[in-house]
Parts: sequence; structure tokens; C-alpha cells
Amino acid sequence: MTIWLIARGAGLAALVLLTVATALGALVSGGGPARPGGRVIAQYAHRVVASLGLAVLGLHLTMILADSFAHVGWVGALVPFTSQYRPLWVGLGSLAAYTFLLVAATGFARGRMAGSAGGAAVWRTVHGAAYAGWAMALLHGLRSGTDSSVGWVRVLYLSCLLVVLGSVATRAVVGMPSARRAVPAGVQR
Amino acid sequence: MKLEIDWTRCDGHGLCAALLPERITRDEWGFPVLHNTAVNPEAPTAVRRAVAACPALALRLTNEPSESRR
Repeated sequence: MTIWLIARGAGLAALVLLTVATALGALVSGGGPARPGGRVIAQYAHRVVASLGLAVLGLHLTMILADSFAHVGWVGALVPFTSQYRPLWVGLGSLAAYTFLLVAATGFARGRMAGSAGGAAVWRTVHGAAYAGWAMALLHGLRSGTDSSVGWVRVLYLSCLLVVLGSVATRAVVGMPSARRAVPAGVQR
Repeated sequence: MKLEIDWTRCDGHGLCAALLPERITRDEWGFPVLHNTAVNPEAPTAVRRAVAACPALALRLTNEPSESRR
């Protein structure tokens, strides 16, 4: 029973952490704190929270596999849409996990990819897949999570949705390069 | 190795200058000015950090041998 409780709790915790990581990612890419120093700190926070989120996601997966009650199993977890329990929604969770792994890989290779000609464009596209991963994770939790009918868990899902939508809206409004050029940031003289 | 700025991408965010004040300063519009582009093959962590931190992916470390100008 403990394993089952950890599996559910880790799932929710991973969603919260990866939500915060996604939101911070949207903010550091464009808008965010005006001062460069603050932006460097926000970047590190993005990396730390994202890494923690992946670690807790690993715990979620491990506990689901360790629990015989979950009816997911190795194949059901690794091959999307083959789970015995709610194949569609568990499959979305698998796809979300793969997406986040890919996104993390580009995160680590950021400096190297900035160096090659087409690297930056590829980096942006692949790293931006985090939004899709986050959306799949949210749906996966909502539709296959045991606790989705609990009041505060619903509030949690709604908060996650609002946090990412809010940060993406902020990025869209203040983060566009043209907007920055109109009002050059950080001119100190 | 050499430190370079891709001017088609640079938006003058200023993170590189904040991380590498000894190599990079900002002009009056906030855009970076490189003072020392030559980097040892085993680039210091600070340089790699600055390259990874650029929000526009405009700062890069190239492999072409630095002819140590300036």
C-alpha cells in the first residue's frame, strides 16, 4: 500500500515540479527579470527544478512498476497505449516522459548546439516540445490519476494549467525580440 | 578555441557580460563587446557557462584555432 501511495504522490509532485520548470523556461527565454543577474538565477532555478522533476518522475515510474495493483507493467509503461489500465491516458504519460527526456538532453547540449549553424533552430524546436510534454502530463494525470476526483487535487491541476498559460502569455507579450528592441533593456548609461 | 557572437541572433540580453565581465562588456545600447576572444582548448567553466546561458543562443565557442588577435 505504501508503494501505491508513493506512486500517486510522486506523480502529483512530478507534475508540480515540471509545471514550475516549464513556466520558468517560458519566462527565462524571453521576458523574466529585467536584470541579467536575476535572469541567470532564474535559469539555474529552471535547471534545478527540471532536474528534480525528472528525478521525481523516475520515482513515479519505479513505484508504478513495483506495484502489482497498478496493472501497468514494464511493457505498458514503456510502450505507449499498451497498458492494461486506461491505455490511452497511461500512454500519454509515457509519451510525456519520453518528451521530457529528449528536452532534458537538449538542455544539457545547449552550449554545444548554439555553436553549429542550424543547431539553434533545432534546439528551440526540440526544447519547445516541453510544452507538449507538459500538456500530455497534465491530461495523463487528470484522466488516469486515482486522486483526480479529490477537491484539492483538482485545484492543483487547475493551478498548474494557469501557471503555464500565464507564463506563456507573459513570454508572448514581453518576450518578443521586437518588443525588446523598441525599449532596449539594460542600458545603464 | 574562439569565442564568437552571432550578431543575427544577439538581442543584447546582457547575460554573457554579467557572467564573463573580464571578457565581455556592454555598449551603450546594451549589446556585448568582446575584449578577448581566444579561449584555451580546455575552456574555463565560466566561458562554457556563459555560452550555455545566452537566451538567444548567440554566444558560441568555435573550434577554429585562435590566432590570438588583440
